[in-house]
Amino acid sequence: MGEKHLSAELGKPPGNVREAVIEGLRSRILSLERHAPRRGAWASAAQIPESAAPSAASQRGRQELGWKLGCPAVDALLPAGFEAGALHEIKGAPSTKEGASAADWMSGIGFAVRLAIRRIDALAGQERKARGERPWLLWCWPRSLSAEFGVPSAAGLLGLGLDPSRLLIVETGRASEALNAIEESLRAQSLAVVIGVLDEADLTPARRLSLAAGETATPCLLVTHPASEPAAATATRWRVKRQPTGPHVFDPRAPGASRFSIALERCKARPESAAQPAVLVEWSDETRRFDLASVVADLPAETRRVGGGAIPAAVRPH
Amino acid sequence: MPSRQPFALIESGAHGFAITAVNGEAARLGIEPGISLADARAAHPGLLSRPAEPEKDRIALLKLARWAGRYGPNRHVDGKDGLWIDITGVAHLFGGEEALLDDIVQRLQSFGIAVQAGLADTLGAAHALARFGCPPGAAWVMSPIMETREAIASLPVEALRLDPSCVLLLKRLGLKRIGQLYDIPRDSVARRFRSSDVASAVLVRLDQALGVAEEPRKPMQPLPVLSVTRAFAEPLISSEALEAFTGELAAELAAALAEKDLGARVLRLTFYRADGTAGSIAAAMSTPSHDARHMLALLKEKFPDMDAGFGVDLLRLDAVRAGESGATQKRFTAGEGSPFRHPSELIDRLVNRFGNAAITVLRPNGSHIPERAEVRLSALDVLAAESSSRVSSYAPPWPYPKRLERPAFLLARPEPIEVTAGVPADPPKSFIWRRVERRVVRAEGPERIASEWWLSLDDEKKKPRTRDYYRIEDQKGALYWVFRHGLYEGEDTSERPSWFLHGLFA
Repeated sequence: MGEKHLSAELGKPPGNVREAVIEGLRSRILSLERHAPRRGAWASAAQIPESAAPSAASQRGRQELGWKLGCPAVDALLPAGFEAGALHEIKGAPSTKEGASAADWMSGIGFAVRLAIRRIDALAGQERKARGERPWLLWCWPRSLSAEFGVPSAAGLLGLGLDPSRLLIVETGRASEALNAIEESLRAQSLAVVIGVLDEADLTPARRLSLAAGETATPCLLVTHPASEPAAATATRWRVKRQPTGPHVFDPRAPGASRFSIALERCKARPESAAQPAVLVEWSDETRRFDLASVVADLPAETRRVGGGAIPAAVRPH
Repeated sequence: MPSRQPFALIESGAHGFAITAVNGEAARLGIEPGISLADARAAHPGLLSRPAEPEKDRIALLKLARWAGRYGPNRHVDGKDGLWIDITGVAHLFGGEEALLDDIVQRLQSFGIAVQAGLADTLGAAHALARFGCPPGAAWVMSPIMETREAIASLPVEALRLDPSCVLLLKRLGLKRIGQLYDIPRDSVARRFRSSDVASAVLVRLDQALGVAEEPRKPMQPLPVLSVTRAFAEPLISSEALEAFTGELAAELAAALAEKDLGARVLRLTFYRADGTAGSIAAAMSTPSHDARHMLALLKEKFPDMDAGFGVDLLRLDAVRAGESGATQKRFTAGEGSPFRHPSELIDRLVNRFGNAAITVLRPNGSHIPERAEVRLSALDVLAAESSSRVSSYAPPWPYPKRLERPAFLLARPEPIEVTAGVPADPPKSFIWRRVERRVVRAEGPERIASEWWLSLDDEKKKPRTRDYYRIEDQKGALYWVFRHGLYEGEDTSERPSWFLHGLFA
């Protein structure tokens, strides 16, 4: 599919002109709907596959690129990847009907942090890394939540793979102020990604965030209360539940790689993707990507030791 | 205050009420500050009186001094009832010194304040002229440039700001006018007085008045690096108009800063209201900036706090602090070809709106105890410091190894948990945190972190205790960072080891 677009764009004789035109119109309507005024008029840069992006592509184009989880099974749900200039809502799965525990929140937060790492990796090409320019990201939440979960810790973020010196932490008194700060940050064009953690976002603030994200192609990951009403005006909404960790490479009694079961509950660009069942993915700290959790590796530790051959998902070649 | 009737302010003293201040009518009747109210009432039964409120007077005078900033940034209150303003290089803006004096006097009189103003080359001479040299019927007196000596020669020695005892002594010696002091040799002044302190006080005050000795004075506010003002014939009330003129001032200030290759660090917009009060709004910046658009955006945020009152007739925009704006910061880009702008503008805007403490960054702190190993500092201050350092983009290194299993969120203080463990030195089998029991499925550890014993050397009671950290996973897959405070053996065992939850893994 990506090839087809590319050929249409490069002006090569298209295989199927009609389909290409329809696809082009579709993406145009999409960009109109998202109120992204500065977007390229026809095929958005997000439609070009990551590997095929020409080296001469402007930095702006790179910034607008959608980014992927790294796991083909999930990425198939979003052919264009995570849209950069949009609002993505992430909700943990509530353990009870009325409320959510810290662990439920942490599922959503953990997924959001790893998505941010994917975004920064997608953004930071090798050449940028060499020049030592690392993008900034911003974390924003009301003080009530930071009192409950503590403050982001540099040691932990470094362990996950984020550069803590480039993290701005914003703590506001009220949730409305946090929304305000997130919107302001999205408009600044200074940040690779903005992570907001809030109880919920009403229709109007959510629309404002969505517009602000579209203006500057800065993605906004909004982690909301697991049991609250979902926000409107989001490009995607994910339901994330933390699962028992994968096996540790050396020690069967130790927690291994983090695993999440993720479900795409809403997908504006491709509604048919939203109905799919949840997928169990595993985050690898080495390759910094999600992958389908290996069922073989899930067998009890004793079985693996007898077999001796099961390779943990984290080190499996792709 | 009634002006047609004799009126006095009184204060209770050792001998009943004493008069501290009188109005013009009372003064004409011969009532002077210092005499008792009973005596004054005996002579003039119609005398009205009110208790004096020196504290309120002081505050009102400070407000007036703030307002007086429109005539020059270097100004402050002078004693209990005076103001001084340094108008060096300012007079031409008002059309000359006479016009400036007229302007001050007229405005103050329109507020209902009785004024006597003096203008001279030195602060001491101006003080003397204002308080003792005003001819009857005139509101101001001015000594021409370089003629201070002649201008104050005929004034009484009280005008020299001396102690009453000094004045008394001078008068006893027959030295009643300042001019009489000019011709006495300095050595003999010291000889005539009983103590050298008194002599030197007289000489210092005389030198200061004549401009021989410098007299530095602390201004009310730090003097701005650069400032631009705009005066209006008709007071402005609408916020749109104020915003428009603030924009003009910002552009003017930005151009002036750019010319000197400076950038503003702290901005202050002062608005002088027509009723003699003044207010101001300020904004700080993390990186020196001479970008008018950015300055205006920061100030605009604070406009709702601005009370135009009866109208603003003068606006002044000060660059209170400025720094060198390096070539790299001129356009706030992170570098060639980068799609991102430097976040300093964003930080300024957020700080402006939510306060300096709300926007923080993490920086290493030189300790190995987890909660002390890193600090959250104001992003504005950190960026200001790091951008002004010679290293273009300085980021301190983190003292952590590459692969470190640490929680992404540290609780503000470790929370005690109830733990059941099979063997005392083992990781917990289950624990109760926030009233919910969690069963431990897997655990890793311990990571032993010794206490900073050197910090508790002087404290006999506080024994340092080692912490054993475990990374544990409950049945739902949530990961926690818990520690046992204290060891079972080998350490002070008077207190049983206790368990705490310190962080959550994301």
